[in-house]
Amino acid sequence: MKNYFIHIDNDCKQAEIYSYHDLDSNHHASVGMAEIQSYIDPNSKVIAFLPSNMIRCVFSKKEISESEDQFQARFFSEHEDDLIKDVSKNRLMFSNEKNLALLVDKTIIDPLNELFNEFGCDVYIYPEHFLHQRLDEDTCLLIKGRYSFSFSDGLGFCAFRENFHDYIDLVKKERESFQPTFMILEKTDEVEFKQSDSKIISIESLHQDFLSHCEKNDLPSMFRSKITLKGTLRKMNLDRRDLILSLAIISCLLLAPILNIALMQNYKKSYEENTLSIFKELNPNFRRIVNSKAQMDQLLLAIDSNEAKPLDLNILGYLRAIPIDEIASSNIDFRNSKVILEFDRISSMKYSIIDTLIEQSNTKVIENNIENTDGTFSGSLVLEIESD
Amino acid sequence: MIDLGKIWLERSQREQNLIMLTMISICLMLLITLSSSIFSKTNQSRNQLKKAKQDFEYVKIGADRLIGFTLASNLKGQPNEVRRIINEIASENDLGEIEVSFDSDKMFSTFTVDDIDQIIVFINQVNRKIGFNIRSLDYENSNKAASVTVEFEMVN
Repeated sequence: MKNYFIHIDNDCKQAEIYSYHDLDSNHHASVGMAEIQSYIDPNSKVIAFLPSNMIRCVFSKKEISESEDQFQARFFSEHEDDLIKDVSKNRLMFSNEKNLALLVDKTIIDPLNELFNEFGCDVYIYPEHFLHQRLDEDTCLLIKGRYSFSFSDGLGFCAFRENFHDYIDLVKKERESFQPTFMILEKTDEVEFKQSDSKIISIESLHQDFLSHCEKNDLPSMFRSKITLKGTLRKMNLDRRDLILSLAIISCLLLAPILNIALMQNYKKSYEENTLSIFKELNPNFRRIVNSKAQMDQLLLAIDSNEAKPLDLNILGYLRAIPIDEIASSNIDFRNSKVILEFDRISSMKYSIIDTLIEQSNTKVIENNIENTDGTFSGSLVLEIESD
Repeated sequence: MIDLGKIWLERSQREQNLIMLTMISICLMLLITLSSSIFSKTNQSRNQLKKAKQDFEYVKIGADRLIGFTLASNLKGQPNEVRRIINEIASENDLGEIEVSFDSDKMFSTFTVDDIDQIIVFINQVNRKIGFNIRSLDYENSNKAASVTVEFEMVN
C-alpha cells in the first residue's frame, strides 16, 4: 500500500505531495489542487495537512450522557462569541480520547472533502502541527515559509514570518513555560530565530514517524468519507475498457429476463400461427381459434377413434436397448403392447446383459421360456410394455 | 433553476441521512417491484408458451389422424396404387426387394433391414403417405440378413 502526504498551501490552491512505497519515495512540489488526483494511486493511504491557522483547536469534554448533536449544540453555544463566522458555517470534529475539538470553516473543508472523496483512497485530514507534536513538548517547524507551532497540551497554530515575533510574544504571555524546539527542514538564512537554537530535521523522517504513530494516537481527522461514483470506480481500479465491459455485462443481466420474455412470446406466437395454419389446411374456411383442443375434437368426431389411432412407435425402443444381433426372432403386437423375443444359444454373459437391460427398461416379463443348456441360453421371453 | 447541490449542502447531517435513507428505500422498492413484475411476466409467458405448445401438438396429432384416415379411406380400394407407393418408399430407403400382400383389411410388407432405424423410417413414411397404421411387426434374424414383416391395418 502506498502512503501519500499532502501539505496544502495557505490559499488552498496548491499542494506538495510526498509518496512512500516500500523503500521508494517521491516528491512533487507545487501541484495544483485539481491535478493532485493524477499523482495519487487508488486504494492508498492519503494524509493531508492543512496549515494549523485554518483550524481552531479547542479543548472540550463531551459528557457520556450527551449525544453528538447535543454536544455540538453545547459546544457552539459556549464558543459562539469566539467564532468569526456564523456557527452553521463551521464544521466540528471531536476526539473523545483527547477531548480535543477541531473547528474549521466549511468553505475550506467541504471542497477538500469533495476532492479527496474522488481519490478512492483511505484519506485523513489533519492540522499541520500534528506532524511534529510528538517530537517534544513545544515545537515549532518552519515549513514552506510558515511557522507551525505545536504546544505541549496538543493544541497548535501556524504563524507567518511577518507575525512571528508578535505571535511568540503573545504565546509567551499566555504560556509561561513556553520553550519551543525550533526545527527547520533545510539550512536557510531566512529564519526568525537563531540557527544555533534550531535543529535540522528531514520531512521524510517526520512523515515516517507520523505514519508509525498516527493510528495509535486516535487523532481527529477532518475528512468526511462519502460514496462517490468516481471514487468507487477508482477504488475498483476500473479503466475505460473495464467500465464499458462491466456496463455491458450489467445491461445483459438486466436485459436477459426481458429478452427471455420476448423470446417466449415469440415462440408462443409461432405455435399459435402453426396451429391456425393446420386448421386452415384441414378446412380453408376456418376463421379463428377459440379452444384449439375442443375444435380439433369436434373434427375428430367424424372418424372412428379406434380406426385412426395416432402412430406410436415408442415400443420399438426395446430393439434399441437390446443388441439386435442377439435376437433370433421377435414379434411385436402394437395393439396389446406385447413383445416376444426369441434367443438361440446365446452365451450366459450376453443373456445377463440382455436381462439387465430388460430390467432397466419399462417392461414387465410376463412369460419366461428361456432354458439353459450347457451354458448357452435358448427360448422365448414375453414382455409387456408398460405405458408411461 | 433549483440548485440541488446547494439544497443538499444546506441540510443538516440528520436531514441528509434521512434523505439518503428515503432514497435508498425508494430505490429498493422500485427494484423489488420491477423484479417481481419481471418474475410474474416470465411465469405468465412460460405458462402461455407451454399451453400453446401443448395445443399445437394436440392439433398436429389430430390433424395427422384425420389426414391418415382420409388417405387410407381413399387408397383402400386401390391395391396397385398402394403397392406403387410402398415400392417407392422402399427404394428411397434402400430396403431392396419388398413383398406386399393384402388380406381383407390387412396389408403385409416384408423386407430386409440392416438396422432398426430403417424399420422406423419405413413405418413412418407408410403412415404419412398411405395413412395405414401398424398392427404388428415380425423380426427374423438369420445369418445372412434380418427380415422384417410389418402388418398394417387399413381403416374403413
